[in-house]
Amino acid sequence: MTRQMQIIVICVMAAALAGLLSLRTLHRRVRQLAPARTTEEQERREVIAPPISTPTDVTTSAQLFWISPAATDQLAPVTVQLPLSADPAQRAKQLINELIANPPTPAQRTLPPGATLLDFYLLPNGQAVADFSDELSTEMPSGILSEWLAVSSIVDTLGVNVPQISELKILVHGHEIETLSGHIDMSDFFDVRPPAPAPALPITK
Amino acid sequence: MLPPQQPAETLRTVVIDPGHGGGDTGARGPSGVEEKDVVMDFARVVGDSLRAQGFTVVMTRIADVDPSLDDRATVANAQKDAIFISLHVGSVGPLGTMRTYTYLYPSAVAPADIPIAGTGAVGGPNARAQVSVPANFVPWREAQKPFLGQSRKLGDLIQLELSQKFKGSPEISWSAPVAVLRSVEAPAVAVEISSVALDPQKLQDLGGDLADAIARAVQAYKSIYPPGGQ
Repeated sequence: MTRQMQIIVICVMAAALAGLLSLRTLHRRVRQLAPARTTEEQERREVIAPPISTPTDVTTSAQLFWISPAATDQLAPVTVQLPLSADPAQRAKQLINELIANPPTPAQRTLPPGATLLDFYLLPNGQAVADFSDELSTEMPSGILSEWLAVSSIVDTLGVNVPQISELKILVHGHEIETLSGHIDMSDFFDVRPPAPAPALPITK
Repeated sequence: MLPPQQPAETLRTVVIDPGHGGGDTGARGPSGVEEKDVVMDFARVVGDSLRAQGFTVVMTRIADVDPSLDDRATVANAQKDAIFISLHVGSVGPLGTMRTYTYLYPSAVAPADIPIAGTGAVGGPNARAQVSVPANFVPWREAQKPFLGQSRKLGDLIQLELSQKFKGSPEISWSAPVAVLRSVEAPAVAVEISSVALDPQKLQDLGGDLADAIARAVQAYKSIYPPGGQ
C-alpha cells in the first residue's frame, strides 16, 4: 500500500469513528428530547390551570373528601391546611385542584390525575358549574362505584368548604356529558350541601 | 312522554340489561377481561334462573352491540308488569363484593332514610318546582321517579340475598344516579360486582351465585309487587 493510500484509509476510518461518535451524541440528544416534551406538557397544563392565589388567601383548615383508607367503597374527610381565597368560586377551584393533585395516597384518589379543572362559575343563586378537561371522563375508571365516588368527592368537598354553593353541574370542555364514564348520570345539577353528621350507613358486613 | 302504566296485576316479566356492548367495552381488567362480555355471561345465567321460576325474561341486548341508554329503557317500558335489572362489573372496590343501586334524583325526592352510596350521607326531601305536564303523561326523563319506593324494595331484597353469598357486600341497596335507570317506568335497579381485576375464571364462576341470589330476591319481591307504582 502506498503511503498515500494509507493516509486515505486512516482518514476514512477517522471519519467513520467521528460519525459513530456523533451518532451516539445525536441519539442521546433525541432521548433527552422525550422528557423535555413531558415538561412542556406540564408547562401547558400550568398555563391552563396555574396555581390560583388571590390577595385574600388565608391558610385555612379544609376538609377534603377522598376514598377512605379503611373502606375502599366510601369517602372519608381529610383535614388539610390550604391557602384558600375568600372568593367562593376561586376557593372552589383551589379545592378541586387540590383534590386532583394531592390525594394522601394513590389508593385514595377519586379523580384522574390527568384531569384539569378548566373553569369554575358560580351564580348568585348558588348554582355552580365546573368545567373539566376530557381526561375527567376518558381516564376515569369505569363503574357505578368509581364514578359516583368521583362525583361525591367533589360535591362533598364543596359542600363542607364553600357554603355559597347549593348545586353543581359538571361539564367537560364546556359540554354536557350523558355519563361520567358509562354509568353515572351527569345531565343534572348535583345537590351540594354539607353532609349530614355521619350516620353509620351504609352497613358493611 | 310516556302514557302512565296501567295498574299492575302480578309480576310477570324481568328485563335484564347487560351493560355496555359493542365498541363500549365498559370496565377493563388487567387480564384483558371486558365488562361487556362478563355481564353478557351473567345475564344468560340470571335469565335461566328466572325462567326456571316461571318469569318471562327480556334482554336489552343479546349480541355484542351497544344500545343507547334510552333504547334500553324503551325495551323495559314496552313491557307490562315488569321489573328492570341492569348488570355491571366495576373497576374498583373490594374484590368479589356486590352492590345494588337504585336511582338517586339530584334534588332528592327520595325518602329521608335512603343512604347515598359511598358518602355515608342520606338523601332528604327537597321539594323543587315540577315542569307542568299533562296529567296522564310522564316525562321520559322522570319515568323512574314514581317507582323509586318500589325500586328501593326490590334493591334491598336483591342486596340482602347478595350479601349472604358475597362476603363484604353491604346488606342494603345504595342510591346513586345510574343513568340507565332514569327513564325506566318500572321498578329498576343496577347490580355491580367488584371488580374486573378479579381472575376471569373466578369472575365467571360468580355467575351461578349471582343468578341464585337474584332469582330468590325476585321471587320474594313478587309477593309484595303492588298494583301501580309507589
